[in-house]
Amino acid sequence: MKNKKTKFLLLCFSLTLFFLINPSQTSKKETAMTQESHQKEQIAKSTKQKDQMKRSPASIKKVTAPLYQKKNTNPIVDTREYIGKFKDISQLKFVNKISLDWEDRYKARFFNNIPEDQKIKNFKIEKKKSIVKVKNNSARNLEHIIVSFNKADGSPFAFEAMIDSETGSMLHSWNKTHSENKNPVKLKVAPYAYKRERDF
Amino acid sequence: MKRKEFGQRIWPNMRRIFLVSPLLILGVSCGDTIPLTVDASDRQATSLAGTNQAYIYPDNPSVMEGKFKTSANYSGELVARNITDNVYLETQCDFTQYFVDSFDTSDYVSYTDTTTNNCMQVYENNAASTEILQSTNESWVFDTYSTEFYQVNNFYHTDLIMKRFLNSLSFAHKQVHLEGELTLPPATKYNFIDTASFWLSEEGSLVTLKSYTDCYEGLNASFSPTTNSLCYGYYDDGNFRMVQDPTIIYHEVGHAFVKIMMNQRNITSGYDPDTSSVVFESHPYESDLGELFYDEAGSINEAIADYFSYYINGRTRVGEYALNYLSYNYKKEALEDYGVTVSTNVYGQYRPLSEDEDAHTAPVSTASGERLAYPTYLYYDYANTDEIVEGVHYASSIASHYLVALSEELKSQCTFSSTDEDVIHETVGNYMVLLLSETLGEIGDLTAKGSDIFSPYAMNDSDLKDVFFVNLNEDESFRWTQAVNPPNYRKFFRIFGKNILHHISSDLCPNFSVDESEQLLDEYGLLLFKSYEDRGNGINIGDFSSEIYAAYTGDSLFTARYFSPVIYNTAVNEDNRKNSLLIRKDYIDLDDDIVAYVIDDQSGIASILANLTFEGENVQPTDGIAGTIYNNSNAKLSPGEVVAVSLNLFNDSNSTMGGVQFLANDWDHMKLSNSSNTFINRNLNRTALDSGDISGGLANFEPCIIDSFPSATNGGVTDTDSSVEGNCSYISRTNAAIDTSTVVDDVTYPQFEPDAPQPICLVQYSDDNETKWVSQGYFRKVQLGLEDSACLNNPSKSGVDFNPNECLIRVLPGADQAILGKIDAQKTWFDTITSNDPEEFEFASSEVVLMEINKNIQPGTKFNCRFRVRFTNCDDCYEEDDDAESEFSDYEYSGSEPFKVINFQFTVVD
Repeated sequence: MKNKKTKFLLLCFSLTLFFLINPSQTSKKETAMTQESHQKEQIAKSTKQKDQMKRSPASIKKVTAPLYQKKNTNPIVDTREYIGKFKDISQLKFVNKISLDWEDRYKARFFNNIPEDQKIKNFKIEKKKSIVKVKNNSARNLEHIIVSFNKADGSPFAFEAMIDSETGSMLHSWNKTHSENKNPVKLKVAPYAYKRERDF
Repeated sequence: MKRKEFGQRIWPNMRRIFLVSPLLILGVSCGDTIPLTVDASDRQATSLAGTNQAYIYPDNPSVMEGKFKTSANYSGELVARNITDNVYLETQCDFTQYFVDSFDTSDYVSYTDTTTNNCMQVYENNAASTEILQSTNESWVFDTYSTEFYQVNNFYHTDLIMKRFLNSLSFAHKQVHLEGELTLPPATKYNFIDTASFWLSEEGSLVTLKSYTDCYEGLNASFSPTTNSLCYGYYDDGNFRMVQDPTIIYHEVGHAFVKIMMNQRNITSGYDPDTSSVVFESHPYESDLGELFYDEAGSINEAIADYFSYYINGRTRVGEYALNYLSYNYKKEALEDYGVTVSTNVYGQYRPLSEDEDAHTAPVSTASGERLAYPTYLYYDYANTDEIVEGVHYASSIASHYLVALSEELKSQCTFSSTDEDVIHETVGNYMVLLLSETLGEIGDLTAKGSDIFSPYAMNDSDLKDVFFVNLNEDESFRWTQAVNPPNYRKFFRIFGKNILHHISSDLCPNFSVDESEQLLDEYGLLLFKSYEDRGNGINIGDFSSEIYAAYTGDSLFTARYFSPVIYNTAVNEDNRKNSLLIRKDYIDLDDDIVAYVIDDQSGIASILANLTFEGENVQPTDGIAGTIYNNSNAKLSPGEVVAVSLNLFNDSNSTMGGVQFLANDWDHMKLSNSSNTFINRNLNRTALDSGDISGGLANFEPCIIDSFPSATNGGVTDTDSSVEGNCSYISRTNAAIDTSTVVDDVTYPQFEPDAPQPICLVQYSDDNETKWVSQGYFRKVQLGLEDSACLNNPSKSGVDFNPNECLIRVLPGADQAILGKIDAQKTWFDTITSNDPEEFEFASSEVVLMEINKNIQPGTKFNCRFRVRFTNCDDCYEEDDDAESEFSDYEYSGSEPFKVINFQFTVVD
């Protein structure tokens, strides 16, 4: 019994690893299952819609064939959320891979700038969701994360960031804590005047 | 201030609080409150408070006692109030949305969302082990001064303003979508309840605002839009707490309201017209009003947060207790963060919201010509006019005073259903939330639509897919709102003014004319525009044509409502412009002698990198190619260094410039030398081109001639046809940079878009025949022979984003813009801000950009970086000429026209 359980766990682990390493193949295989779950989602939302018709647009036009899907989420095969327009998920071309250590890579970049003597506490990276950003049929794996910690004075700080799933580099950050005490670092001005280069 | 005067001011307001509070509670809690006052002897007697009630302080200790206090003594001051029927200290969402009755289109039907989701919870602190407070035997009475007591009071005041705000937002929605004139596309979300965007939400689900009463030991308060939480500090073993001052609570919750209004449009629901399927889509990013440290957007955010204190209590003061405590105990640094500079222990500090408050030390009043005017008062410290301080809490005074002044004007001029002052105050508060919701909804819209009427999903119309009216487009909108065209005083008040014009002067309150609105804006120096934005700044990226709202005249905006916008922008009556002076951009330039401050000391730059990293900014230098270990403190730019650069800009006009921004982000200033050769010059592409895996050529960009630089003989290129994509005369419509659609055998070969925005720094190239300015990508191959791996932000760091045109000098993306508060006439910014003591001056991180310099650059190499500069009260940074219809479209901010291009030239030296 124990042996079977171990084999089962190993199988699950291998499958997970396989899908993580092969995002494009995952996406191809995903199509059927995604559409199935998407249909279920449509049914569920249609039911909701029926109840809320009064709050919906009046002019509903009928379109015969779906041209593309706006958003796909498949909780079984791949929990990555697709953002952007595309016609066929199997035709997407991925520009990056998913590194298993993207979080460590981001963390290393973060702490690379932090001197030893500047202590922060309770540093935490929480993955909010995994994303595939699609543009012109080109897809990029991204991680939407929340970074939180306490500064040296104990005050909490947090922000959200979009991270490249391969390199761990940051694309954008937002929603930084609005603190009444901002305390920016100051740089001494003297003697850093830079004079015009007259020979130009 | 004399004590008697204080009392005369305070007590009428105290009476208002006592009168207003029960009314508000009755309004939101179905009349289940029995207000009563208690004295010290019975305040802890549970039996005297009703079911689910507690004893609360209705205001801060200074106001309650009628004199400035430095400690809280609640003896005889507490009143019993209903808290919540819940067992826990939490409250559910309760929001009413109106919509057209499908069966009778002349009528509206309300729908109230009373989900079980908690909109707000109060905790002692944010430790994982902290449990939410429970009532005891249906009572919320706890020992006075205990943490439980303060949690309950925090809850009471947060709940009070939360419910009031939701009522105002409901009013705003009904007015702009159903009862108003519909002469503007409403920015306020239509399907608030479907999308849960009337409150903090994620993916269409409500999110709980968590408020931590004793968050940590410190003289601070904060709102985190990431964790949706409020954090209030305490001090002196809890004898001083931020939550003891409800005006601080209203202010902090006000920041949460700004987030809600800014992001209401960033979730879409409806039908996909192509698939007939239900669409429910959140934008991956969220908008924020203000970046780091100092900018005008941040000061407007602070002003709105202050306004929400007035919105609740009608008083033109914030922090009569908290700020007084800090000043009396001489907490200098904490005070400065709140916008007050004191040099010793002083008594009686608060933040004023009216010029008539005697906290002002400058000769200001509510009389005409004596208001806090932009840009004069951007550095104003009301407690000490000798101080010159750049900070959001200082610059916010102009906007906060304006918002209160506008409210007072509306109170005196509009017609109301009642003469009761409290009803009038509440009604005007609703009007103001309408104006803020419409303004912030438009400014923060990352879908770039501006209104549900342009959403293909809300309208079920596929023709709308490529139509955008704000923030360029849905891919670039985040960059536009945060850096390229962020909200400043001009942008905010132009849209705010438009909403006054359409929703107040032409609708709710005709007595308050457009002229009066313009005159009030001008009193504050905020009439910074020449026309309102009636027609929009849109584009259809499907065919690159410009779009105006009027093209949609007569479209049905939901059932039986027709949208009828005006065709032309309404021009400002120039007779109303007395104080709001506009200056042409030619008047700003580099100082003739000192062109910049270049800071390259090791510890200073390391600190600023750490500080910005803490704040979530992307300021990672390229390991091994550049870093602070190379910094040598010689005030020059040397190989391998990371340096901070602040341009020394000179104002050559006779008026003060406000909100000076210099941008160092990529922009459309170069041209492909051969439009067929678009592959980025990197190893990957070169190998594939050689082997024939891909066909085409390697891209080479040449600098366009802008303001005569560089000349044609020095490498500059030019053209005249503005209709040909890729031309210098053609500005990118999408700001798209890298095309990754060429994929062979699962390998991506990146190409430049024809009008790809390019890094700002050019490099001077010389050979036997010529000297010219070239791209860094060209120079690194031809002159230096550097491989990709020797470049800044090389492919191992940047993947497909690698751009060889920043191989040698690279602006760190998290520090690619700087904001300078104001520059006085005939001065540099440095002279303006350092008139007190130049030697002691220190730059803040918001006042510099950070650049890394490739260690492989040969000393003597010359660079020219093309910064783009603009300022808020600029005459020609936002429109092409004096034609009110010629406001720049969003896409034009990819180019040079809205800016003064400043060439900063330097030589890299060892």
